[in-house]
Amino acid sequence: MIPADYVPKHLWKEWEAKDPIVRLEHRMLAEGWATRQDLDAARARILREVDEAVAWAESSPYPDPATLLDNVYAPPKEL
Amino acid sequence: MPTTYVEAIREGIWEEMERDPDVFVIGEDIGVYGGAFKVTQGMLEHFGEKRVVDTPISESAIVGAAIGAGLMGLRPVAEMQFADFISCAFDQIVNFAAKCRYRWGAAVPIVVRAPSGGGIRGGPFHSQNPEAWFFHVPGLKVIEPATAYDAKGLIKAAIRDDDPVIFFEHKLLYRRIKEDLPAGDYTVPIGKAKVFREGRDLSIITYGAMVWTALEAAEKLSQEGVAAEIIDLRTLLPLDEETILESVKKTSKALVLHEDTLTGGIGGEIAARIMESLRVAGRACGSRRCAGHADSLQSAA
Repeated sequence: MIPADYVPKHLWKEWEAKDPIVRLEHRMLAEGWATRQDLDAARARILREVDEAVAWAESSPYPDPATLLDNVYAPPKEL
Repeated sequence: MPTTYVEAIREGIWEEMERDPDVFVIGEDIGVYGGAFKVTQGMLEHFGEKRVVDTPISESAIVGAAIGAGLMGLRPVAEMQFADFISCAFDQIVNFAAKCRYRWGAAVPIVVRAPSGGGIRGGPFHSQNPEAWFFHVPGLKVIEPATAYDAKGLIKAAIRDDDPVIFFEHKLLYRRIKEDLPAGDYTVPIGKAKVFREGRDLSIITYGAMVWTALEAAEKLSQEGVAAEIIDLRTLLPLDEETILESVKKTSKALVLHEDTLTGGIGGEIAARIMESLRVAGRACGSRRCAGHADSLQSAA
């Protein structure tokens, strides 16, 4: 992985302030589209989902090479 | 009352939109204008704005939006105004549409329709045959009908199919060929070639407008006592090897005919497969170079 230390530090600060996800959160709260609790609950749920997915992946065996071409196409069906 | 190739496509899409409320059309000038080739004429008035979506000039947005809709369970039929512009949507098609199922088990049941082919004085940006680019991509299906009957049956099958389908419509055939179509619902199976003309002496393996060129050649040949068999591929991917090889085994001579450029056109792959199985093959195809815009150059190509 190429570290991004070639990026001038002040650019990180400048763009952090414009982070669209953070801006969307503020907008949602301001417009009453969601409460703080809604957003916190969503964040917690998603982090849990990601952690569970990682745990599942790391504890799963590597796929059988015979499955290499599975799911390239949909299973055939009657039209 | 015979139906033209373009009318057959229009009927097929219309019938699928009546049959399944998840089917919708999206593309440039397809709503108010009825489509550059009038394929979607009348649809906006009948089905409404939510199912007939006019877009800005952005093929990547058209296909990207279609992919998103497909992932959410809808069945979009996206139109490229000319097949030449499909290259703007190339990334969406090959990196997303083709691979979502393999990567994430997510279906992308979209159809991308594109008028392809030359011979109509369109110049280099309105005459191309891009099927080779997509023939190369596992996860896609690629179709190019040559008759009005197949055009209707295959567009309906493509819409019902759960994989992303690239549907090439040879624009020279749009109004030049017509036939009586059966009333009622019918589909043509994807992945099956057809013996368009039976013969014993030579197998001409072809698709699109070249099927009709092959027919002219076959008629001339029959006057010299040579009976040519014409195999109309109809679906390019997946390729119906079985029908091709059955024909070549019978005749022992194969000619692969396509309008696309020689180098890297799908004819090479077909010839290679025949060679691998049977060791007898040759090729004939269209211009080796891009035609210039002048009439004289296009006639020469």
